[in-house]
Amino acid sequence: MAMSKTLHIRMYDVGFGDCFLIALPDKRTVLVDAGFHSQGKGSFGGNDLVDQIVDDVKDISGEARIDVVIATHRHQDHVYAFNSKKWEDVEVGEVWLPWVEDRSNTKATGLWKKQNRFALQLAAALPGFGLNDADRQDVEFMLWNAGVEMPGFAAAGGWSNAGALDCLHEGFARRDRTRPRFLPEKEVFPESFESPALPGVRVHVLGPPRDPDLIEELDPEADGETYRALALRAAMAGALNGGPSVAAPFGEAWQVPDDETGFQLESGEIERMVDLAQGADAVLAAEKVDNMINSTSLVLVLQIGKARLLLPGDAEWGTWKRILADSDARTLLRGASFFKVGHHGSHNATSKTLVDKVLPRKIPAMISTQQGPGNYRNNIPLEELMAALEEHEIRYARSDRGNAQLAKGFKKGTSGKWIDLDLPC
Amino acid sequence: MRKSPLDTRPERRPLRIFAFDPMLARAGDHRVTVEVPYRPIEREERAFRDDRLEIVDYDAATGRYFRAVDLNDEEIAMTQGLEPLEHDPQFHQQMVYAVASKVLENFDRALGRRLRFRGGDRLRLIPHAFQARNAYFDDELNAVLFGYFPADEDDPGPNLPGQLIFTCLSHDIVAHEVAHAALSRLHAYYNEPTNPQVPALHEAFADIVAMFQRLTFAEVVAPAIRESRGNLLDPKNRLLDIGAQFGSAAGKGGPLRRIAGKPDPALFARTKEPHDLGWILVSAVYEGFVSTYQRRTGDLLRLATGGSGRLPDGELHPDLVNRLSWECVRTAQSVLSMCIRATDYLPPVDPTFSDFLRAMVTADFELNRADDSGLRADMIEAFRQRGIRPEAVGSLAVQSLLLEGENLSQATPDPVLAQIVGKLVDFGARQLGRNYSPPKATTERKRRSPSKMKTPSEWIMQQNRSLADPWEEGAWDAVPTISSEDEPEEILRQIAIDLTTWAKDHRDQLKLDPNLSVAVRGFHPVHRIASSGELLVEMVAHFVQTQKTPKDLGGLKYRAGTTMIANIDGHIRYVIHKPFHAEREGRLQAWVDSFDDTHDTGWPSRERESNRITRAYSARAMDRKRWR
Repeated sequence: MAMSKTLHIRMYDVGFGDCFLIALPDKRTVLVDAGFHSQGKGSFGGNDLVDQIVDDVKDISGEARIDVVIATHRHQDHVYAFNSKKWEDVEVGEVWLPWVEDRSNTKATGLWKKQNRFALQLAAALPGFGLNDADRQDVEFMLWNAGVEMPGFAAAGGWSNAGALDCLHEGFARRDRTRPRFLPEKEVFPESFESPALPGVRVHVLGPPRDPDLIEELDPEADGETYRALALRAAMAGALNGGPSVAAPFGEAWQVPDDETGFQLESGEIERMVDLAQGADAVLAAEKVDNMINSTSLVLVLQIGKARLLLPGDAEWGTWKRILADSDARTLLRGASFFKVGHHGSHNATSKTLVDKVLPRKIPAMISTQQGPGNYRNNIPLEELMAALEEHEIRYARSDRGNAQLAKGFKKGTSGKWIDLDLPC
Repeated sequence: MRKSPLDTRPERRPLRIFAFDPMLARAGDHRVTVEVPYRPIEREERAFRDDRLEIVDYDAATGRYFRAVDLNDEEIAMTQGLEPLEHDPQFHQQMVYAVASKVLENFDRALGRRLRFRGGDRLRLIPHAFQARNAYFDDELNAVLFGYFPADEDDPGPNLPGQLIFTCLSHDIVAHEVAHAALSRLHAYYNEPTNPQVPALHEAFADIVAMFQRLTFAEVVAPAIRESRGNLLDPKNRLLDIGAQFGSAAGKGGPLRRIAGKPDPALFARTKEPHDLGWILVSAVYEGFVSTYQRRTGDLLRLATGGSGRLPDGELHPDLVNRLSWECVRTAQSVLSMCIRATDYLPPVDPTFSDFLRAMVTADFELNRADDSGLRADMIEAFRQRGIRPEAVGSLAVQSLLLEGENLSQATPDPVLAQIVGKLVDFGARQLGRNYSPPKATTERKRRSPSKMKTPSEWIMQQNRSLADPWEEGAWDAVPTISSEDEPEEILRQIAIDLTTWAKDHRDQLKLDPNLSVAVRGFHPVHRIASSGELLVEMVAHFVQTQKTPKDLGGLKYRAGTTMIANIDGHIRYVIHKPFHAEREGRLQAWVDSFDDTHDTGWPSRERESNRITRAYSARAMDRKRWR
């Protein structure tokens, strides 16, 4: 078995989402994410993706078993397919999730509660913003992706973000390790470990940091002002429909009736104050929700023999900054022999420095992406990033170009529904 | 002293406040009475005002005005103002008025003039302006806006879940914000974060004012001294709770407590976040203060302990507590004045901690050559231990830290300058006597029309608009025209014109670029009494030049500036300058680059917002981090 010395990576064309299957030389399998965007599907619609994955692992090992299932972060476009009932027939060794998914960690649950409140408040306030169609859809997509039920994004069969997470926490036919592994497990950076599910594979965890205070995007207080502004707008939108209006902090006895004469602020001054009190930008607020979840994304380096797979999920600049500032972590990146381009090739998930100065030349890379309409897909994938990869002789394959001429080393799957890569290890 | 039976006007107005925010520190008695200078107050239903402050209780979240308190009401006045209560909005108004008045008094006392807001405008205080955990000074409205918010449902701290918490009930927040407003008035360009120490200095200065003002309240200090047995660095000392109350962007649990530990000289060089950087300055000043206090009280402790200096177990003698408290208050007042006075000796643009240290030392030296208390030396030592070293200075001796004064024996006085200083000082002297003059007949306020914005992004741009610079776009060599609306005092309009004309011909002396126009950005009269009893009568004036550059500086501008101090004879005493210099320009560019490096992924096609740096360090953004 150890003689084969090649690992295989399969990138499924899930549209705007991520789904990768890795087969190790000893026939063990690792699934990294299984999600897609309900309005931006690729070659798979849901259950058929799971069918395909199961067929593929059966081809590899002969049984419906995945040794490690990794969900990098809870965005729908990374976990949605875990809603499928078909997972009930699949056996799993271990499930790996970012530590913020640990339901027994009160810091983590508090975080999601606040985040969810913020997102719901935004959803409630949304009609009052009078956004144009493009912006509205943009916000709706980001909210849906974050797990807020949005009309127009409703999926068949009652699929939801919560359902997908439940499967990751408790689902599957059987698990060798009952409880998911929540990574990193300690405050060591970078954390490295080996799992009995993948003998001989060394796992390095570069993100997210274990200390929530180090994740600036996570700080729920940091945007208390936007939250309050959204609450006011939501309440006012409610007031128009006969709901409760915003209560003044002091009762009527303290208030000056409108018709009372005397000094008043100028209208311009009041306008500015109202803007300061209630000013919120729905798109920025939605991006905040989006970034916050991306900032919890796992960043892993899987060390298999001499291969080092860099799997950064959708980690954004905040996470990268910390990684690039650490010399041990940088060394790991310098030795990477495969790069999964983060966040569908967006500008915020891969820094210029990473490509120009850190990653080695001539390694293969994969981008799971889908060009198309919608603001959330503006500049995705980023052309400059593609150019920089080429300039550094990093050959890459795009999931949405499975039928095009592929760079050296990549193999086209049936009807371009996936792309394969063999990597010596 | 009364000279006639008709003369009944009091000198002070006693008002009750919370010294410790009742929402954040529920233990113990935290009510004190402060005595603010008496000024006639004019009241309407929606506002009340004296000659420099106006309290308008308008809530923009709900669109309501709350009725203004009548501090002149005899029933209220005879009980030293309303009783401190968390849910009495009129007490809130009284509290912001009292604390802000106290801050302004401290500025007046330290600066040797009455702090005058631009155009003689009143600073507005809006105690319930919006619903959020923030409070900030808004330059455009010339107002401090205080937020209120419900306590967290899950983690309410010492409060009930959902209970309203008012930022205006914190002495520290009110004093901090009014200090921001005052510094913005004295140095408008410090709102431009031209290096990381600029926003840090703004924050640290505001903290110093808040913290040392509280240390001047004997009613607060005495119990703390009793509990900590005179040890101001005791981590359990309640006075250090000030730090805990401020909260901090980085360290949860009171950064000031760390003062007691050994300072790390490398920390200063490595810290970039402005609040963290600011704490280094605050802790240096606090430690300098403690050293002086300890020296001043050493004899008391020896007297009280029969020469051993070791206090016995148990309670301290109340007389000793009183004497120690008095020394603490006295030292705190000196530190406060020293720090505020330093602002007159700072360059008008791009200041650093090093500039602040030198300004502080120089300002103090001017008034108090001998440094009998040793405060100056203690400050220098505390700064040194934290790695804050003056640039371009060979040693840490006081002499070499002093800013270079002009040689008076050689220079001939400038008669034109003498005339200008004379006029200004005359105006300033009349202002100083304002306490006793009748209230200003006019209550007219300059009409403000803050610009209206339509889309959210425009709105964000405008929120963070960098300073409007009236001279910037116009003809550079033209003498400014200042409307009576901008500056109602004719004499000040005249002085502005005279000074601009004078500066144009003296760019050389001011060490400014001979080919660029000069803008006069402020001039202040100074009347100070030195420790020797000598009266110092001077003028402080700020001159600024701006270089047009096509480079994207993230909303910043490349400026040079000079602070000139001239005496009444027309002698220039100090020229404190930040000239145009390749090294400064390089440093500015490096700062912009490092900002961009840390804030985005570096793809050239990504458009960077033109005002991204000024926006990141806006008062609102900075204070949001501070009060969370």
